[in-house]
Amino acid sequence: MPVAVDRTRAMTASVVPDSPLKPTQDAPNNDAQTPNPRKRRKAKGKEVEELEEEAWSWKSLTDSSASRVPPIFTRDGSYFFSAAGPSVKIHSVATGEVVSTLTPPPNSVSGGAGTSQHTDTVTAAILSPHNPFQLITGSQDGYIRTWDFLDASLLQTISISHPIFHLAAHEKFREYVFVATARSTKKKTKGGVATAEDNVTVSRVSLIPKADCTGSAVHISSETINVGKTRLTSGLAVSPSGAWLVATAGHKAYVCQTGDLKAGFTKFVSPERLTCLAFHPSEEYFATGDATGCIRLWYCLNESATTKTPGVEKTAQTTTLHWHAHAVSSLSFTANGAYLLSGGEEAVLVIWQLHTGKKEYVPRVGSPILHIALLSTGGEEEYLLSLADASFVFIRASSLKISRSIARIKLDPAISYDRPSTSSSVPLAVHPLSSTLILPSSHPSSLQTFAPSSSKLVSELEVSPSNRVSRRDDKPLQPARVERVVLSDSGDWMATVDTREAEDPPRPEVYMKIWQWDRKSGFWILNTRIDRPHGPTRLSGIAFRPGLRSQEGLLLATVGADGNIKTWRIRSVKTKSEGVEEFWVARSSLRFRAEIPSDVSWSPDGSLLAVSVGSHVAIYEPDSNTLCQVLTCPDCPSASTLQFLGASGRYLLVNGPQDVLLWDLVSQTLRWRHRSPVAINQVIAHPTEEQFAIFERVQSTTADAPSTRVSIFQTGSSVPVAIRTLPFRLRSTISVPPTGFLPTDPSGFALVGITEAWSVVVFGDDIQLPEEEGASAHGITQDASVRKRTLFHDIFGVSAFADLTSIPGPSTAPIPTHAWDGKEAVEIFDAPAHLLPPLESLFDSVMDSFLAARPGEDEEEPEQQREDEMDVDEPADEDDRPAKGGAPLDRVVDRQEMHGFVELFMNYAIKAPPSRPPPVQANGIHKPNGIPPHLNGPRATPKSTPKANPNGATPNGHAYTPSRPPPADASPASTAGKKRKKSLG
Amino acid sequence: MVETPPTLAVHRCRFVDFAPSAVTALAFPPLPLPSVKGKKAATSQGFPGFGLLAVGRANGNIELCEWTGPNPRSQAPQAWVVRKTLIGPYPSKVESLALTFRSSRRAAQEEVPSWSNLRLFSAGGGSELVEWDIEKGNIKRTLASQGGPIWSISPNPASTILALGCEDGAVRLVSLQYDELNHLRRLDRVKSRILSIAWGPPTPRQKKQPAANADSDSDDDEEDWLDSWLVTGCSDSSLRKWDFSTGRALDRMGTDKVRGERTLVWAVGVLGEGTIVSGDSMGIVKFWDSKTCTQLQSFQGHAADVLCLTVGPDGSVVYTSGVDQKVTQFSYVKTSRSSTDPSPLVSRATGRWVQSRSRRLHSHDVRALAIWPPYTPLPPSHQRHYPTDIAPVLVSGGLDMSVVTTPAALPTATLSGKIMNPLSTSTQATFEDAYHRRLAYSSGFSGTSAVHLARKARLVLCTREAGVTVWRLAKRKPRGDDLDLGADIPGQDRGWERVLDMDLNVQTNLVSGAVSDDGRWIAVSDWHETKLFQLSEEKNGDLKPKRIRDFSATLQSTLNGASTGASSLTFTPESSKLLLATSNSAIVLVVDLGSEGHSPRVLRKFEQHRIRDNVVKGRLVKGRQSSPAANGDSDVEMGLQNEGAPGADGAQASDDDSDLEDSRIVRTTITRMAVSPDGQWLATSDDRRRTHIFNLDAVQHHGSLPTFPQPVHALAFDPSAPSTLVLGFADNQLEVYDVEARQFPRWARSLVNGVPQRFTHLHDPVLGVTFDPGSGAEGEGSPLPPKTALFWGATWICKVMLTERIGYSGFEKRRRGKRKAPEASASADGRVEVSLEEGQQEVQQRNFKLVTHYRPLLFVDFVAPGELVVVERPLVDVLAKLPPAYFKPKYGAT
Repeated sequence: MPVAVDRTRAMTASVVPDSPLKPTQDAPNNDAQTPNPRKRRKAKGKEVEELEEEAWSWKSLTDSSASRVPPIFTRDGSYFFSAAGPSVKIHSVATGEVVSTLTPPPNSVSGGAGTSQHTDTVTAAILSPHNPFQLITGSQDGYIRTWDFLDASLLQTISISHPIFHLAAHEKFREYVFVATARSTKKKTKGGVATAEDNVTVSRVSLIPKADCTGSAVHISSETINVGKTRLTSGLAVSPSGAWLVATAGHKAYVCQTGDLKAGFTKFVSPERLTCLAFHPSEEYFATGDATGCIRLWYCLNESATTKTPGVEKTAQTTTLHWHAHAVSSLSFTANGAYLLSGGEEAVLVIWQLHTGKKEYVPRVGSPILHIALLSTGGEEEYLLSLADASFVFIRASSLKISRSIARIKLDPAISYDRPSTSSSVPLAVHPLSSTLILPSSHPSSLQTFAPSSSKLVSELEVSPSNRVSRRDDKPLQPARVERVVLSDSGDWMATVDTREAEDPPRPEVYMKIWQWDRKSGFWILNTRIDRPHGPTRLSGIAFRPGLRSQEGLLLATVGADGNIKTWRIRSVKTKSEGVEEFWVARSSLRFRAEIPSDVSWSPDGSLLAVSVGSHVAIYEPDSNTLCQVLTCPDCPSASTLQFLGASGRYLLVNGPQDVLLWDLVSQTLRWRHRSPVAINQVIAHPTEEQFAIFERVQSTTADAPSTRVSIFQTGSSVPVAIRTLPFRLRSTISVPPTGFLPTDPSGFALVGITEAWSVVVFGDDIQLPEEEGASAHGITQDASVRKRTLFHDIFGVSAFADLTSIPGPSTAPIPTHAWDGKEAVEIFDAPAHLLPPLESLFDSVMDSFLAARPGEDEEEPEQQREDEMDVDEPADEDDRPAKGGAPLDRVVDRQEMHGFVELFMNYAIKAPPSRPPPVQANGIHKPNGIPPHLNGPRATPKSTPKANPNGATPNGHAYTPSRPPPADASPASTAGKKRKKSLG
Repeated sequence: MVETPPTLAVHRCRFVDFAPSAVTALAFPPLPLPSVKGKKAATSQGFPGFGLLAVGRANGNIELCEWTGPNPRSQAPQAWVVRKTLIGPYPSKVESLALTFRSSRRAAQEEVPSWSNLRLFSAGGGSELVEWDIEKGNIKRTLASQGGPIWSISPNPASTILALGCEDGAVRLVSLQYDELNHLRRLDRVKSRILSIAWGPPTPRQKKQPAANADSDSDDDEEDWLDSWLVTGCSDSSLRKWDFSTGRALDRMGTDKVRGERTLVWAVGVLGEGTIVSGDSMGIVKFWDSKTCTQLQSFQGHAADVLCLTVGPDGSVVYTSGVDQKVTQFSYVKTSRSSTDPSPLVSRATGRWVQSRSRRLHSHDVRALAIWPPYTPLPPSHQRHYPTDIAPVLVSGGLDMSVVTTPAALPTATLSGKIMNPLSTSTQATFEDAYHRRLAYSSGFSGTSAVHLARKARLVLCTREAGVTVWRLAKRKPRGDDLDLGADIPGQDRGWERVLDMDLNVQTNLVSGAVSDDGRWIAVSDWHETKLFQLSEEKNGDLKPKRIRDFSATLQSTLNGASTGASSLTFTPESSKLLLATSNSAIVLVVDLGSEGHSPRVLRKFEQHRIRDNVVKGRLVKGRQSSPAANGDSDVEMGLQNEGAPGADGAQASDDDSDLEDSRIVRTTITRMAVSPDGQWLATSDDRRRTHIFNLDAVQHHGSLPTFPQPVHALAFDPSAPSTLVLGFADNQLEVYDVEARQFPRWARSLVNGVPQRFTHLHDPVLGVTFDPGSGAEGEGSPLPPKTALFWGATWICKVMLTERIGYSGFEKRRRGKRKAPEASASADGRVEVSLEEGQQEVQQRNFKLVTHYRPLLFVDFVAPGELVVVERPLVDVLAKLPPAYFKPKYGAT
């Protein structure tokens, strides 16, 4: 390309006067030639000091990591408790949602050991054996708290003053709990750390406070009997009969007769370190799991167990069950004692039939199993697994299938497979079409989509399917890691880059995958996989061409360490059956001298492609691949990233390790340069405004000091206009388009980041997130829990009669009265029959117009509704079944008709969005297919989602297509007919 | 010597293709039934001393092993060692074994069941039941089953009846009373094989029946117990319970089965309270209630067939094993149930069986299990209880040819204190944690070696079941070459060649063999006939045997027509005489091989081993040795009488009724013989632990040694002092005896009395002792100093300087020194130089040095001064010839 080269030279030359040419005098030159910034800077020196380091508002989207406490069901099985940090969340079993949160009053005690925030973690929780509405929790800071979880009130706090590890209680021992607490020792390890963690005292503590401290908030127990000393306990339990107390710790099982606590523990030796403990519900034996995956059933609870013969290592009669290859993390017997459930790192639930030794498996529950709890309240048993990624999974005992899962963002650091700490490799993106965040998952080869508006995990996408568990003694498998994810402006395309460190040739395996958004299913579908897009080297930059264009104009630019700048385009091929098939192919490959490009960026309108190459920035015209301009700043030898600023794309922002350069493309000059004293973590441009933020890590000395400083700049000067601080460090940050789901001031920043502790935070100016339901302490009304799954629900689905008996409290309030108007129904059918949309889409509309849900209906209402439905169904069905045309509408329902109903309900009613609350129906806004239901989903209260937002029209109008499809798109008769055929077939 | 550690040239022979035989059956003697009245308080009885162990092998031999502990209840690192081998007919096999009492009254008085009071029965897959004469070592009588091949045999608890499970589907009862073997009766026939039998617990007779209508021909003492029922495992997926009195099948218990296939119930057992245990070909172990004949519990205990089963001493534990090579333990646990929420799924019993532990002790199918103390199914009221501070020993054997012993204490025993591990393998003694131990197999008769060496001719002879093979070792190169190891060995041929392979027509498996030093003679013997071959070398180096046809007749004439089989054979060092100990009659014959043209002739026969000694509790003690000197003298006199005309006297010295009156005859077998290097002395040792010395120059009985507590395992004369006899015993004790002076020399006392514990605690007993033949000539030609003995066992060689005192802590530096052993020794059959000194310089630690990197050893001897032959038979080579073991791929296996 001789022309291009010439032009480049010309351009560089033209740049020369503006940008410093002589590298040696670069820095002074810079200042000299741009006097403005310099003066400003001088002036700014004061200003900076004046500028107050204001803390940015932020909010975490994730739970703290999965807790050590197994989930506990209430006696009636309608709620379960899960500990999260210092508080206990109460989930509804039916919906999985958090109903209430029990949080102790902040630092209710003075002089407690805990000044740091992590010491008050709840480490143990049990239901009170006497009052099933009381929950007893033990926490790291040494308090036993008794809660009335119905009223969400803290009844009692008893201080033990040592960290609590386990609690156990039995109804035989009224007002007593057995507690495993850290033992204070004088011994210290070599590092000077007290070994209190490793030395545990098991004692029986009375819950009756001492008489003299009745007045204070914190009581002291009136009686504490030490049972014995152990190592760090991994389990503590009282046998079902109450006769035995068993603790597991280290390599030993400690057994004590509860009738004779003074006798202390008898120790039984296990060949491996014990990790968990469970008691058989009816017989006097217990099961332990150990670090090598062996499950042992211990038959040592008889009279001879208490004989004292010092100096001899005692062993017990045990049965070994061995399937797990990794440590067993949890065990649980079923209520009838016939089965034992075990789970561990393999993410497989194993169900042992104890009498035969046979086993069944529930594989691939998603993540290592931490705890297993059983729900058995008369009806069908369900197993609740608490997973390492802080999600919960219900498994039906009858089918051994996962019936439902309760998940939030899964980003547990413990299982993040030691990701490289470089922030660039953490994928993070915003998907505007579905208003979701695309986040890394707990497994590095997966992504997850999270809807912040509803605070729900929408889906998980396994980018690179891989084996997740390796053999026990082998080196762990090196997983493929998703390092980058970028989305096209339209939201239709997503490109991911996953890399796997190969062993044999020490080169990474790089795959670029391009996914297409399937609007119907609301999910990503893999469109194209490109193996090693840049040869054996990594990708260093990837970007979609922004701006609204036809599919043909959409380009994807990548730069790699092999020096190539590649662009990729969509190719469409007509196939016989499917019409047009689209896939991505390489379009062009460029090189800029012999340099290695480091980043690529498009101008906002997509007309320019900028590539940072060493100390240069090469700007191409993408359609012809001609090099338009080269911006050179020898002062900044390696630009790491570059991006266009603002909506017009006039400014180009380049940053190196410590420098930020702002180029003005119109004047082709370096507007100014900012040199940071510390390393720049990341530079984020505001998506629309001409301002940007620089993230710097601050070497904080104290724990409370902010560790990230954010300087906000505008194009005018190299002096920050504002400085914000954040109390955490960030791995990756992305700015959210103001049109998105975060209701903020459009000119302010709204950012989403992943902190070094792997939590997802939203921060920026005036961040407000919808307060999550149940995040605070609520009383639980008993009525809400009486709803049970019935056989009817199983057949017809819950949503067939949306919550007839109990309507969620908050959503009942504002229902506009809506008179029944037959015209609506008529209008729907007001079209030639061959042009009518398919029944699926009509059904809801017709039903909505007939059925106005009214709160506080009396008993007759469901009956009425059912009749109404039948009335409406009848004509609809007649289209299908002409033979039945003249059938009178008698109340005798024959079998065929019944089948028809069943089919109809199964097909249509159950498919409707679950738990659709009445208000939405009452509004009558009915979305044709194609829009993800959660856009104005059930939880979209007016407060959280302004009405304009779901449509996604950006103010500037170039980045985003309105997601509401034109009506023609929604119901053309031809496509509808097709779909219907499909569903029938 | 001290400055330069002496080195020995070692022929490491791995070419000897001796193949041990698979273990097919194991049996411990039963314990006598307690008295019905319970007056003798079975509970108070202590731990019975470890009894005899009978090991049946696939080649038809039965090894009788004896516990080596100094007293019946003490630890014995060597556990059981082979005391005597019963040679089976060729070809034959042993499929099942049973030991019973001859007289239970006598048994009740004994602490350990004695050999003489035991009867041994075996069945070998054919239709014949064999009773063995333990003392003589041959078949006593056989009995046809009358019902086809015998699949199983089982004696009743009182040792009065033996039940045979036959091919035709009938259980036949054989009466054992009055030391006889007669068919008693037959139970009903069913249409399946009877694969296994177990007797139900006998019922105590409440009172004397007024009419003696019960089998009146019974000892009243034994009839305290009445047999009630039997249970058999059948080949039609079922177990059957039989009524003893009527002989009818009471009930049938069906096992699980795969459709279209019959499950074979290979093993069955009965517990005292009546629970029946069965193991079948689906690998399932089931527990049945004998009253209702319903299944109590079922365990998928094994992945493949359960072949054997044994019940622990107190009936609360059951061990099973089989094709999947695992030994699985089932324990009875008492469950104290919580009263609050009784689960309907659990039976109301106070306890239940759990599958508690599984260990893989073998590499191939396990065929037999036995446990000591043995379990007798007795009603709970008469249940035996053993003290828990001594761990029972579980013995198992199978296709991998080794007997494995495992301490098998129950975990519950750990509650009451320390448990003694009788095998001293580890401080732990529970089945779960204790180390097991493999008993080394012996290659030859009664723990001797099947390998023999001809020094001058450099021949190695190995006897098999029915054949012999001879190899020739290449001459050792001059010493200068030996130093250059790497270049030397690959260039030359393998250093050995097979020169003779001979299959013999034998009646029984070969008992012994010998090759003369000059390589001209080979003597081989089965139980009934000794064959002598004269060897001549052919041009290609192969040997050509020529059988001396009339040798048998010569011997027979001397032995008065008795069988000429030899239990031990030795040539004198100058290869002019053959020393022969007859197998049946324990007569020592001195045979002059004669020069060219002359046929061999018997010079002398000694019958000292047949004479009952003046014994005190079965032992000839030292104190008594001098006083009944007349006895010894008379022996010599008798020998003198015979000396002149051996042929004529031999005629009257017949086998059974010779010139010795019957009362003085004891039945024994001479197991070991040794000739002094100068050919003057002969030492013979029999399985009654007696040792006699003969003077070969004078052809006279010279004297006898006191009886030692343990059988003699190693016997050799020191070439540097030809009258010094060195003995090694089964419990790794040593003894030195000066034959000429007829005394234990004073200089050896300190050594003999202070053998270091590391030596006596070696797990493998002494198998042999050898001296460097060159060391006699004042150290010239031998790197070893005079009076240096090499003791060896199956896994070790130990150098002992007899004159030195024991350097205490003699073994502590062993491991460090071992690293210096040349790794080049791995080259299989070549000659390598191995330093026996192992780089240890400290003078006081020079005694009792161990080399353990040859294993397992079949034979160690000097072929020439300073040149050692070590015959190894690596277990992997042996196992490689076996069919592949049952294998199930597992998770994680590649």
